Amino acid sequence: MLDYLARRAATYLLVLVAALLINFFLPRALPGSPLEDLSSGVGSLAVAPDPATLEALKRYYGLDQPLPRQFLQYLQGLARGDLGFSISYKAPVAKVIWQRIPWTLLLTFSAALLSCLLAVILGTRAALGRMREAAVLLPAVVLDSMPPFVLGSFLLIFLGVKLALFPIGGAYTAFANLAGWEKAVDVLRHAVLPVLALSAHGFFGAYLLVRNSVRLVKDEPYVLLAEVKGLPRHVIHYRYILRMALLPVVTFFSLRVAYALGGAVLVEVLFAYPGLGRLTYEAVLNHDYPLLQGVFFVFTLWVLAVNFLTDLLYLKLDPRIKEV
Amino acid sequence: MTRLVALLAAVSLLVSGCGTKQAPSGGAGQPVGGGAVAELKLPGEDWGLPSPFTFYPRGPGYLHLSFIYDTLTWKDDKGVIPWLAEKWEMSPDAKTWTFVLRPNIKWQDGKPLTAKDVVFTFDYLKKHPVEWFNLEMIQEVKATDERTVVFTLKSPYVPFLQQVAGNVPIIPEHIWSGVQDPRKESRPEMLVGSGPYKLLSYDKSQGAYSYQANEDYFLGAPKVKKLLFVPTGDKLASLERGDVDFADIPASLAAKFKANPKLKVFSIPAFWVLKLQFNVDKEPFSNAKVRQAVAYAVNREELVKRAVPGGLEGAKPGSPGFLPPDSSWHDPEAAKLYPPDVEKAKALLREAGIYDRDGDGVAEDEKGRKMQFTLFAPQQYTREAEVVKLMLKEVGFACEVKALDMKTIDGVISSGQFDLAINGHGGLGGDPAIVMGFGIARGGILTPGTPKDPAYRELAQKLLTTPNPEQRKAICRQMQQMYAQVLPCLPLYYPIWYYAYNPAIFDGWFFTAEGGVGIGIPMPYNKAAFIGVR
Repeated sequence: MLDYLARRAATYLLVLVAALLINFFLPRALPGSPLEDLSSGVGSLAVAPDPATLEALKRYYGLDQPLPRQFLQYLQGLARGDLGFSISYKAPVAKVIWQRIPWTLLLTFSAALLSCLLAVILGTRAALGRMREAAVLLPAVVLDSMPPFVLGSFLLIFLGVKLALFPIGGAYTAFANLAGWEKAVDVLRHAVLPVLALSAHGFFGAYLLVRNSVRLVKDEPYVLLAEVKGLPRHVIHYRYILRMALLPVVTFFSLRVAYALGGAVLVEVLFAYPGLGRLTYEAVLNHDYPLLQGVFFVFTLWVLAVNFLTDLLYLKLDPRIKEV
Repeated sequence: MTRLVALLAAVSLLVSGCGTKQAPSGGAGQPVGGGAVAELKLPGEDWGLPSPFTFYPRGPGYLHLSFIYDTLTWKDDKGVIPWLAEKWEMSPDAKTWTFVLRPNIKWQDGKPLTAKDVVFTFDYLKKHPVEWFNLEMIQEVKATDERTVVFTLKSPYVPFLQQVAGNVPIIPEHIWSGVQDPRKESRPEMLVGSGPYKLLSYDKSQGAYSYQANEDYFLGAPKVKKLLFVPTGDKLASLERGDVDFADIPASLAAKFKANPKLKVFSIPAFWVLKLQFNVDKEPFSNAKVRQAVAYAVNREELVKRAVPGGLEGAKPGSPGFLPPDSSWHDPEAAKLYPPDVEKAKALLREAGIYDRDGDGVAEDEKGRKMQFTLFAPQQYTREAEVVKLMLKEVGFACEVKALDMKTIDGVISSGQFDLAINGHGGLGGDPAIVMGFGIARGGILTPGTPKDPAYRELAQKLLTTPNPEQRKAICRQMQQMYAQVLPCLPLYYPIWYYAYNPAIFDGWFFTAEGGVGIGIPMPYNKAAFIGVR
């Protein structure tokens, strides 16, 4: 077991180092720079700062140093837990990111949970022949083939504007100063549309996965044995079949959570949701190197952490992995 | 994506016959007695903490700042008006500017604002420069008494009112004198200005701001008591829901919004240009004849009509002289140059040795190189790029459109690794010495798009230092003629911006003269409108 974990840890470390290198050098390989972005873009001006000001700002943000030096400073900062200072947001990167993380966690976990839960319930029922599949298949295929932001746009127009059931911008009502239950309800109401937009996409895959693995498992000899022993049906279904069938679903769920970060970008932009996805979008547009490094660093940690947790869960669900 | 939402919104407007759901406003936002507005809700987005050192150096960021801080002069719909300064004087050589402050102006914390604060502001900004404020021309700032400030410049600088006096926010010495690194100063209680509004709350991650009127303001208590910038993802939907009382709308939807009895629509010149940039340092576009041929080949009027059906309503075709027809400095003669003429374009190209030698539809130059280029274009403007591509095909140029984001294209252009690129920028309503001169006036940075011709640079310098308005007009006309001949870039069009608002809440919107607020921000959020002092 320890040996297994040690091997995994070594792999993670290697991935982390590679990611750090890419995170640092990739944004800098883009044409343009964070201080060059004043002169274009919709609604912006032909402001040309004088050369002395530009020099002073480059010095201030450390952009006048040679790249290897900047990288070293970045690593030294990381070692101290300092992610740097955002050029476009004029605030410490760690603080900017920290404020955004809970919102993205809320969206992605709720969406992944919702789609996986539905998939497990409907997939099991379908595999055990308890419902007609056609009712699920068609809407699931349609919804699944839609990019989340397209579905989001439809939800926004119909549930948000026409029926005015849910708020369409932000994560909570601005200036309302709510507290306790009222605040929780307010936050949930704001999360409904983005979560729905995110959860439809991917449901179909999860559904098929559950249905097929339940179908495979239910014909296994050990299930037959359990039936022969006369165990109650719900025990067979949940303890014998579903538990084995869940293994791929766990992988799927964690992949969804890891991947959801990327998928959340456009949905967050659409609903002005203050999450990491929207932040990434803005950081890329602004060529804000420190912020981009910070965001990508968090993404890297996120994916690694999800992977690690999945590994642990696997050990619990299927102890045989330890021996491999 | 915005286009998609706009399309969906259009569809839904059609379906419902333009019905608007009124906001469950619950008392807030209703006009209160004496023409005052209790609360005005505007679309919010994060533009940074509105201090002169932490705002995001863009138009909207500056506007937020201007609610809290005042400048020596300001602008309304007619032109420059006195603000902190009640009068000013330019010396005949435009090298010395003297401003006299109004008496009894107070900071929001009650302390008096004096000439010493003005001097401090400029000294402090020299020490802690901010991209937005160009103070290079200033030699010295001195207070001669409590209310008089004298600026001595290194060289004559005519657009001083717009670029400096009407742009630099005056900050209180007693707040900032002890601050070592103002860019890291994020305590909201430091934001003490002299302006009509105080910052009540700022939520960075949601982009929400609330401002409370400063009832003791020296121009009288503001008419709009509360300015709220609320987070909005889709502005049209938010306007329709009543979440906001004002929003910019796409030109293609202007007619639909006009049909809505509860909303009013107005439009303003954007003073923004979409232009085709040539790489003047690289063959074949280093040859002026080739650039002129492109100008004959690209039919700007047709482009405006065809590129985005309905989306460019009111946009004006590009003038080869660069300045838009909405600018008072525009030269109509330069605008008439290069009417659409494919034959003329081909003839010019032939003079440059470029024509289709092997009959494959693509021209070659004398060395046999095919005229095949990558045309870089911002994602939002790929349709325009496709139309340009088709027009260039007529004269034997084969282009492949490559979509990137605008800032990346900026980077591509300044790196010089391109032949043709489409990009845009605003600020065309500013002083022509800045707009037409770009970097020239600023110690020789040459922004791509500026003719490198010494004669042109001389004219730009003259425009900067000539105080007489009539002479300035003449110089500016000459520059546009020259620009059209050199043609470092070809302006494609100048769009019009549309806004829709709820007049039941606030009806005092106007468009600021001389290209917009401050150095020329063409947005209607002018604090003079909210104060009601126009």
